[in-house]
Amino acid sequence: MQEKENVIEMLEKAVKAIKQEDVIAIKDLSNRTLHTSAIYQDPDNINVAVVLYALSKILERTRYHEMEGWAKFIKTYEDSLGNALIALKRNDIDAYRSQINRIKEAVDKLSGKLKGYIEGVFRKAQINKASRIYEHGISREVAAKILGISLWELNDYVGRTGIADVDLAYTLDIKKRIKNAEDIFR
Amino acid sequence: MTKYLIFDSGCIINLAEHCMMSVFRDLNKVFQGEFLITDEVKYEIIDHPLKIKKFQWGAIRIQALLDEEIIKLAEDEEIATSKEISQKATEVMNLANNALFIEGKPVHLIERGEAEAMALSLILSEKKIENAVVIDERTARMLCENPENLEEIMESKLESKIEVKKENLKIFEGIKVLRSTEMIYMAYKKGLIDSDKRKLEAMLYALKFGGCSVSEKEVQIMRKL
Repeated sequence: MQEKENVIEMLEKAVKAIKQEDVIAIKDLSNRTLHTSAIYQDPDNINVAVVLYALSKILERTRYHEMEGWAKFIKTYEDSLGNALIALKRNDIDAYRSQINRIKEAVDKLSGKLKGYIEGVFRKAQINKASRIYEHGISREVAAKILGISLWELNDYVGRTGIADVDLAYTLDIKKRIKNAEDIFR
Repeated sequence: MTKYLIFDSGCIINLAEHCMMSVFRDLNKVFQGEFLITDEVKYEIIDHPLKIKKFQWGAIRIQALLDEEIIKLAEDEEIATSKEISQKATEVMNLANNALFIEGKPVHLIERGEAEAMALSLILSEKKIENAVVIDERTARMLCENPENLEEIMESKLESKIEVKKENLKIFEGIKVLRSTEMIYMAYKKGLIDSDKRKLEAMLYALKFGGCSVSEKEVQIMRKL
């Protein structure tokens, strides 16, 4: 695991934010782990980013909170994050990963509409994180691969962001590029 | 001598997802050469999505392009062997993924599909065969055209100093890059889509919002040209 101290810090703050029901802080934390995710492309860092982002979205959508299975699911989610933090502080990486996996297993155990909704939130969290990694300068194919998503999903999402409009992305005069196109089509 | 346009995954996915396959077929008819993909790109646009319900239909439509020989596998064209492309792609990946460093650690920038497309372009150029790569994504394009800007983006986003091994980037200089938007612009210029500029603009925006790394400003310039 790369940057363990960073993950510990994120989880400590996340556990505190959960207690305070501070959804914005949780989302912000998930974005902060992105820097490490982009540099090291380490699955443990990336999983934390996804899990925290998904949690912020799930907590935001209060209509989920009335659904069958919610109470048990969210308790498992929050307990697992707390236990993951304890495991990591003990330097027990296997136990840490097992706790993060428990969250994914909890999603699998859901049923009915809530299951579909939560699965959707997780999928979108993965796409969002891949898009953010791409935004940091890593190629789309790398970003899709490390998040375990398809390029088809990522393309569509990226197109709806402002990434293409960043001035630094303008690398060749458009008239020159069109000239290149005309030359090869001549 | 035959010319070649080499397609990365993103561009073909984008055209397929926005119902522009007929324009793509028409462009192929007027092109004095061949449209090529590599094995890895085929995996990304056909073999892999065929196994995912959500993308199966898109993959089937792209498979039809291959069946009709609108796009061809580079390996079948006898311009480069699989081994040749694979070896060059490995070289491209090694160079690209050891070009930018943060805190002494190399940043993994590109993957196999992008690397194979660029590798094929380099092989063809070495053989003095005219070619261009069609890439919709930003990172690979910036590596070829302006790696300094990529370095700047990474430094500002990661808030860290980036060290660059410039000699590793030399190989990418001279790779000609087009995007799906230039393909559609050429279709417009060649009269393959009607002369209504609103239609051109709408198609360019569809590609932009579908993931082509083209700016609003560039779309507007293309519309006015």
